[in-house]
Amino acid sequence: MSNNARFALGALLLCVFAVLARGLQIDTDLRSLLPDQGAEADAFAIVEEFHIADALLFEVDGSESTEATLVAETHKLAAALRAIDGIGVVQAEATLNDALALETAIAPHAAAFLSDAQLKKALSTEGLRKTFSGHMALLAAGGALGESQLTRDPLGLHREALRTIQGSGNDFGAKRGLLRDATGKRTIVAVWPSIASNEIGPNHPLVPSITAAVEASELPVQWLGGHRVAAATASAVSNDITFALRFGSLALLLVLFVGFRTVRPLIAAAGAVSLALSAGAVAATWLSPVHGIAISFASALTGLAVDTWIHLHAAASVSNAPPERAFEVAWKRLRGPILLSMSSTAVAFALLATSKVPVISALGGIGLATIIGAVLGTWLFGPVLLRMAGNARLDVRDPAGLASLAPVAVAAIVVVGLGASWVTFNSDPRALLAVSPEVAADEQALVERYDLSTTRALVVVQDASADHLLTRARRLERAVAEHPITDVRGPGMWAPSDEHRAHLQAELPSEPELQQRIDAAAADIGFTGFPGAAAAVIAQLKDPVPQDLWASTALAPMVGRHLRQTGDGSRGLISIGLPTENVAPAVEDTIRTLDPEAIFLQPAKVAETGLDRTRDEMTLAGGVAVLLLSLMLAMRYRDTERVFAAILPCGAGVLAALGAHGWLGIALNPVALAGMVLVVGLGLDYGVFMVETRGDGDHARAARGAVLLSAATTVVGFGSLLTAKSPAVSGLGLSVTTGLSTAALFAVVVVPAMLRADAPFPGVRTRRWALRAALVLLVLAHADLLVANLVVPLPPCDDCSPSISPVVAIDKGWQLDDNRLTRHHGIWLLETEGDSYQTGVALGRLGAPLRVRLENEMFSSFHNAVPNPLARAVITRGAMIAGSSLGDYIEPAHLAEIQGQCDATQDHVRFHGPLYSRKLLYQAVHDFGQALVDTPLLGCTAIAAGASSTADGHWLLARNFDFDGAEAMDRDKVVRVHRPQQGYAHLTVSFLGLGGAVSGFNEQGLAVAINAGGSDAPPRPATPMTLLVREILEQASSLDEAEHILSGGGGFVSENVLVVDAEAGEVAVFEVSPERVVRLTGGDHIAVSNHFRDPSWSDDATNTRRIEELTTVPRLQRAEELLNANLGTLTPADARAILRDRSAVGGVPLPRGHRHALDADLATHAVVFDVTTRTAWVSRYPHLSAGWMEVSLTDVLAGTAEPLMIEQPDTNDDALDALKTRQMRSLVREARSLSAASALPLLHKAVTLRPGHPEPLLELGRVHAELHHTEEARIALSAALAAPLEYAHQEREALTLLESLP
Amino acid sequence: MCHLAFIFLLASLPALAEEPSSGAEQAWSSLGSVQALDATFTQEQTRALLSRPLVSSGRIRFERPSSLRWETTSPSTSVMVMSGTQLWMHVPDLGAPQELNMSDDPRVESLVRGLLVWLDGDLESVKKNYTLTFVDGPPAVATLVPRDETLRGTISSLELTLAPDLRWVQRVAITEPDGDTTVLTLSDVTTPEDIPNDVFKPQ
Repeated sequence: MSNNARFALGALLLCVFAVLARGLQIDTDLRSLLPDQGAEADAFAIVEEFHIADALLFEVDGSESTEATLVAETHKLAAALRAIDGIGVVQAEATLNDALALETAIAPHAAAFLSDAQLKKALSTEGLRKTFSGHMALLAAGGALGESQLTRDPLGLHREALRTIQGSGNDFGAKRGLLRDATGKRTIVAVWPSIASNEIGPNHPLVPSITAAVEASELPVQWLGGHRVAAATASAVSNDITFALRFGSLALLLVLFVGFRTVRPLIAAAGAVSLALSAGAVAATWLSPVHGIAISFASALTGLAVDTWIHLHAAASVSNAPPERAFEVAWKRLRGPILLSMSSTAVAFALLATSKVPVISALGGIGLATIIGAVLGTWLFGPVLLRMAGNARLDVRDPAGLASLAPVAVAAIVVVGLGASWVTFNSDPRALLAVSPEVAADEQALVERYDLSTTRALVVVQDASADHLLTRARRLERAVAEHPITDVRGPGMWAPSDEHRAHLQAELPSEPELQQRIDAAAADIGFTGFPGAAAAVIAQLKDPVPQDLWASTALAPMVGRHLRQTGDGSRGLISIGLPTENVAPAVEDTIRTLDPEAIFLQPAKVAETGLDRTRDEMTLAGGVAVLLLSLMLAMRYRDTERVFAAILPCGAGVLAALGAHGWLGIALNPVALAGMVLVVGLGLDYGVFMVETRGDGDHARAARGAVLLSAATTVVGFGSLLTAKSPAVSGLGLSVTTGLSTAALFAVVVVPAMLRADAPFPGVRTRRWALRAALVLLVLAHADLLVANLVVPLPPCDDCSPSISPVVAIDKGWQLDDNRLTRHHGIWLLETEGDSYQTGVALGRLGAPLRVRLENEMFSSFHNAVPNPLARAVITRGAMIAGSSLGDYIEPAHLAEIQGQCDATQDHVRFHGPLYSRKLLYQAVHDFGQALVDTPLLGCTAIAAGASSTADGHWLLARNFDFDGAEAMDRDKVVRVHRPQQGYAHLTVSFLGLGGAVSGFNEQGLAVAINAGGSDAPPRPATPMTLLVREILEQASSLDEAEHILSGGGGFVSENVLVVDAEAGEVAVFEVSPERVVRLTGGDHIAVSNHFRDPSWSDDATNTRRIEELTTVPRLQRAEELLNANLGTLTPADARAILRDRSAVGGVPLPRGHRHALDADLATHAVVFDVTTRTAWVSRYPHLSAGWMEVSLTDVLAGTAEPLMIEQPDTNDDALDALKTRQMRSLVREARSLSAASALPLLHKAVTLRPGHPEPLLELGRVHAELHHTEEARIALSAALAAPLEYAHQEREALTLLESLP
Repeated sequence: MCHLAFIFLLASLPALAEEPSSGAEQAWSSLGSVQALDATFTQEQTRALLSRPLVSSGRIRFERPSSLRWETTSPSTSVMVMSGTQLWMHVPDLGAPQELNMSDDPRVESLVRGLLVWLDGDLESVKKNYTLTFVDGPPAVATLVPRDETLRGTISSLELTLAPDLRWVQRVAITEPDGDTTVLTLSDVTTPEDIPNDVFKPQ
């Protein structure tokens, strides 16, 4: 084909592409950054359907104005908002008529809207008296006015029902006709737009119209909502892209001009660039709508075309060929590297194009098309345009000292690359949003003022029958409400199901009995009675609640947010407020077991998971791309050094980009990660050209010039993105700018130095040492693998095969053969029996998700406790070696159970050893923990009493198992009832994955609980204590037998073992060390904490240190004090109250969560065993703040168990408070790892969460002292000392700090 | 025709009966001259709902045109504050305070104004809404029967006994259609020039 024909074809293609690219659509939808298939996409579809994330909140501040102005301005704003297209529902007013309409609606069904607990309470004698006292007060205050109210609602059920459905947990409500904050000086306008926030593009009129309405207000108005953020982000991305394109184009021209000193090559480049761009645009059109971020890569993609052209031009200029042949000569010379470079980048883009994430796949598609366009454009337009451009040369000098810079460059990249070790990836989709300071300030103010920060989880229920849906929803809502959540709102709340009404009816006393109770309570207060009140309650429960009950009330829009009619039935949405993300798994488990068809999701979590998947996808694509590229290079060069040299620039570029993020403390985001693909593509391009032209005088210089010029054009273009307001776009700028500048530096400095024939870099000696170092590392890695595989114990059974029976869903859980895992009141009940191996298989298959979660949380705790990866590796390997002989000390049946678990489990953990040896080590984690650090994190208190010490002579054992570790151990605790093939059936309380036990009792009436101890005897390999306890439960029926097992097993570490024999009426504490066992008899009652008391330990320094330094003594004293106070009358309820005690010795109040208290918000489980009746009461998460589950071993064994919930608090307040203690401790831990200045805000928050607690106060004092805030330090340290401090060493530290203050 | 004349005659009878005496003019003129009032009260309610009379006491503060603070201290504490059409009531035994704008529901406003008509110093307004019978004293006694049928469903009549100097009402007896009665008696009455605004703020 002639040159002119090629040119004509190129021009034709350009025209065609221009026409095809006319339909390009750009959006800024955040969902483009998440996978468009799978759970995430489904979740967002639901969120969108119910308009969950799309409420807007406006606050009119009247604190500086008159009431009249506030009212007028609020109405004005509401009216202005209503007038805007797409605004949907506006709620500002809350009139008396609204209230009356609500009461009128709810009155005929009020009782049906209450929970059974609420109704029981309201209709109890005490509840009725309280209501009637209120009525009397109302009569005294309002006379006839009050009478009309009380006759309408004599039992107060309307009021209670309305309070139930209206209670949102938000700190605002209806006052003087408007929605107001607590002060009444600020009014609230709530808006539910009919347009979803993800439809808001940069030019959508909704947000400007809202802004105009807000600005027209005479009073200050703050507002927040997804639409505002979406508009800000869309606008920022749009502005950023426009700026980048304009600035990038100008910079490109400027750089080219500077490079060539003439505009002719610029004009010549237009052919390749325009065809590349238009091809990219066609691809973008085909994939439309594409996210703006994908478009922001346009200038970089242009760089690919420019890069090719520059290389060709530079090669042509030094070829000395006549102008009409210059292109052919240059093309012939560079065809290989160009195609290699372009195809390698094309491979990377092709991999991205397969992504499930729209923005990534769009980027891949556009990139691929651009590359094809660039090569095609170069080839088609090249001959004619190059002739036009002439032979302007790149004036690049070849300084003699350039090679000497190579070591500096390598040293620099090592330093910069160190930053890569602490680079993090931010999965929070909000981190990609562009939020202006103004929007952020409004959001922060309103979120804090109205406590809107609660994380929400959603449950979607679908059903063909609306009533069936309501039944399911109500059941779920009731079960969810038993967890420590802030609120739950769902369809059941708006329309109680028939089942719920029937349940309430069944719970009611007969009409005459209820009426009699009402009349008696009324008479007590001074009323003559309320005839017909009982009949009215029954009537309220009789008729079905119509689904359109709220249609004519102000709540109608709210109802629509929870219940939708769809073509194939009804769809309900339950919205759950979570105080912390850690509560979510407990709620999810309850949903999963109660209604497997219900969909549980956390929008924020889903988005994070989606972005994590995006990251994984890109990392995988990057890895595959590098592998393919290496293969291609190897095939071309067949020389390791040249392959390495070609790859080096892109490797250095990626390392620099990661290091820059690490050093600057900027987390990587998915878009920045996508930018790495360009770094890889162009970096490789630089390397290939430098390798191809090595030692070739003019051509090498031309290639160097081309690389520098090409890099300069791209870096300048992307440099403009560094100032972008959108974090996504600026992240891209940082990645590409640092990555490509480093790649270019390496290409022009290090690669030529490496490939120099004379004195290559690095020198022979250095290369030799590097080779040796690499070999040593390789040997070490293999030795590690060898050790890991040689020391691992082997499973005992070679020919065992797991049961192939299916796991069957049963009520509240699942069953495999005769093994069951069910959930009751937020606690798992695991029933296992029979062959040890198959029991293990059942554990593995029934509890897989629970175990994975627990293991993840344990590893996370481990990472937090030991942040250094090397230290973690040493500990992991050390434990593996130390535990290599562990199998020798474990009963074969227990080993078989562990093996069964492993055989039925898919291992999801990498680099931490084989599953079986890991599981074996987990059995000793309790022992290892104590052996390694003599940890104060384990601090338990227990009491036991019987015979004349208890009210009925029953033997009771009560204990708190305090462990400041993974929350999952408390949240996911398991009550296990196991019937071994040989031995006694027993009940234990722990967590899934622990084969042994720490608290339990057997069918023979023997109960055991272990409390950590300490002695000078060094730890030694022995049976893990938890498995010894299990052995006792399986084999022992007396204290002597228990002692025999303890003496035989020896102590791995030191431990207090409390044993009760209810049948013989005995109790003892065995003080077990690796060297001896001492038996303390306790008469008919005893308390125990975490030190040894037998006089024979008096010379033991470790035990003495525990007594003097830790919290064991105050806890023991308090336990003994409370036990003594209840002697002779002790009941299980008293024992539970003792475990929940939060005071110091003498009843002196302590700040909540203080470790001197028995209940320090630390217990992963608390149990009270009535060993005589074989009954257990197990604390409900969190810690001891949410009541107890009662379960009988006898009933479970008989198959008639129906665990009950007792002492459930009326509200979740105490549970939520307990979680605050956890949050406080977590903040303090985090603060300890930060600099003083960074730690300060965290510590202030921690002090706010748990005022008066010494732990954050001490830390605050320490930080203030470090920052030389003398007065603040003094105040905090004095307060910590007064609290008092928990450990003796803390007290010494506080006093030292105080003394050191000026 | 004769029949028609009889009907007219009957229709005019109430008008003749309700024509207040000059004593009423004088009394309301005197009542209207008081701008503010501060007193303790005792209220005795006899209701079919109650097994025994409910006696309550407290303090009332009023300032024209329509600011009122009604504090009950016995047998239980409660506060009611009225300012214009806004009504705020806090009965601790019932939980959180309640607030409402009476103009949202004329029935509620009518009832509240009806119960507090004895504080109204405008005779024309009283005559417009009530049938007034006035007996000169001492003590002067005015009997008011609501003209509005809805209000009559709650209040049958109010009997106001005026203080000797006619500056305030010292006793109000309210009779309800079901026979329930409420008798309010004021004592320790003072008529300050004005009352601080804070008194009429919800708190």
